[in-house]
Amino acid sequence: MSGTGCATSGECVIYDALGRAVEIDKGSTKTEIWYTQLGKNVFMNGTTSTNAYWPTPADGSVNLQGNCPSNCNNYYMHKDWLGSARIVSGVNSHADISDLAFAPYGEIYAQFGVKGPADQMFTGDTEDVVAGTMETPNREYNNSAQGRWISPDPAGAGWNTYAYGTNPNSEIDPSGLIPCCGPGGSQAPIPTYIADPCAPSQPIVPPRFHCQGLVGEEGMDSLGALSGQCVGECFYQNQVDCAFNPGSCLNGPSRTVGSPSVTVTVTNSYQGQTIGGISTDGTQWWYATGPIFPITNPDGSVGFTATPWMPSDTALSQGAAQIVTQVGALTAVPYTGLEVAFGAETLLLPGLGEIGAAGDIADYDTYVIGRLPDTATWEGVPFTNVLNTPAWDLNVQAEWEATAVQGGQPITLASPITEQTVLNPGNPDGFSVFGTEVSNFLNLGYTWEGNFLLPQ
Amino acid sequence: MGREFFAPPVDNLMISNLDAIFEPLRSLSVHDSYRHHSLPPECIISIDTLVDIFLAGSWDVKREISRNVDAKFSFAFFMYAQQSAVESVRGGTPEMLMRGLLALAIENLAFDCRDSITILAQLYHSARRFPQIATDELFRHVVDISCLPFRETLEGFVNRSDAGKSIEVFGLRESTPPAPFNYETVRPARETRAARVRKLLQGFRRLIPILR
Repeated sequence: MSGTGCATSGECVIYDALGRAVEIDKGSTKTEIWYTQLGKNVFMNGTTSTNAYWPTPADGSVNLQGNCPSNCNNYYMHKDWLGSARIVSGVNSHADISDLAFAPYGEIYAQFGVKGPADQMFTGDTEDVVAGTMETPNREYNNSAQGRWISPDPAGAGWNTYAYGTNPNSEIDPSGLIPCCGPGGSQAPIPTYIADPCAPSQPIVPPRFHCQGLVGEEGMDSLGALSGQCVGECFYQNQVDCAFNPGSCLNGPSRTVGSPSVTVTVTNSYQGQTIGGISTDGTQWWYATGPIFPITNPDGSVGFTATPWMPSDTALSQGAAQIVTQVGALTAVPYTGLEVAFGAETLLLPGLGEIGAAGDIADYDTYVIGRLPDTATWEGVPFTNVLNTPAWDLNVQAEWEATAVQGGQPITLASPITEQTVLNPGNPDGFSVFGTEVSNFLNLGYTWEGNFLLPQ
Repeated sequence: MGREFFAPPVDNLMISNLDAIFEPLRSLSVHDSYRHHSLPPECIISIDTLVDIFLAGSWDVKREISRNVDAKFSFAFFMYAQQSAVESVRGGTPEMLMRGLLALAIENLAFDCRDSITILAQLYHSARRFPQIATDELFRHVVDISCLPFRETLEGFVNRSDAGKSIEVFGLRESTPPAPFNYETVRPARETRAARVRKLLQGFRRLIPILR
């Protein structure tokens, strides 16, 4: 088709043998895309570079936008653990250009500034062909449609061939073929159609990262201006983002389910927006929040805190903290201040034994199952319960499982559920002990969701 | 001069051959083994060889062998050990019990010590069927020639009460005659193997093609 035809009919896209878009023809505008070992590297318009990416430390990148070096603007792509550039800032201007907040499957639910199609957005992908869809070598991902590809899996794998990976917090899918164990974003290697980009059976470990002083470094985190220092440790699942977002707990293992019913909402004190909430009776589960923690406020009152799952970076950068409010049958105990958000862990962890009352957080520990080498890494993590005893046998195991089931506790999977972990042909029934554990909980009505088995 | 500083040539020779010996195990599929309930002959030969080397080798050699074991093919050692427990009784060959124990020692808890303990119970149960064998002594002998962490687990197992070492507490029992001697899983009546597979199927369908 001629260039005019492409313009009339929309646009023409030329793909290389690896399925990567290498030229986009919109009639008067032709964009060529160059690739290197690092992935998508340069966008060209004729002999003029329009966008080029330079890798920077910590898996970030700089976008050289325009015809460099004489006439271009340089932008830092501040990426999270999945490779999503949540903040774009000017290298020279030191100003925020755009600030995006992504829902788990990449939907942009809050936005500041103007995002560019060449910004390395959700998991580092760009919107090359159609605005609103992310380009991968094998198919386009519609991040605004909450986890749906616009075409089925070429291999026809899975019962829903349009579905994105089940755990978008820890997996990426740069190829469009198989969810892979991020991080990496655009830095991840582009797999061939037959290659399996995932490393086999990696254990799911509880992140216990120190913030390592990254908070406050220029260009790293707008919160740094508020906190000025690294606060506390990151104890909870997927809290790998502590440099960017201290205090965040993504799908933390301490999700509370059961009675008594407590509903907590988390609002943003700066703008008063409700970020999310959680109910311990399981009737609500807003993914905007992490676990609920009881805290003692400075005035001696007891409050609860939950950390926002993905707070509005813009609001936080302008001085917002979190207000945590108990609602429903309990008296509201609002508390405003950054110390809550960051201090929850330090206030709570030593005080765990002091709470003591029935129904307190200690009753809602998450139970961790997996192969013992994997669960061993969870021992000592607050609010987790790991069975590791030299006297182990099936009776001990059954009692422990019964305690979890009776309390309606969520189960955290320390090992991935794969053939390698659940099968053991050396056992008469062919299942490993971990496979039997999983089977038991599924038989008792639990459902498997990502890294968790959740009670009905 | 201690062996740490001057390993004898035989050690080097043994270690240099390990890659080739492990090769068939590295390409083994848990999927196929689950389906066929048996190990390919070349894998049995590999483990046989490793057991011999482990038994004769120095501590350095033992550690090097275990270092080469990956959890991805631990199941091969489990299958070998479990078959040793069964075949020793069927064939009246108690020496196979030692080989089974050494296979577990080589695996050295790379996968999950609970799976190892479950097979230890079967080996122990089989050993008790031979009146001429001092079962605890046999197990303690393997403790003495094993490396940590398996050494500690095995010692803990031997020191359990008799009830704690019985196959019943691991959900196992002997198969009922006239079926040939074997171990089988005891499940609540309401939960058949088919029911378990069906339940697992709901969650694992995408990941475990053999259950389709």
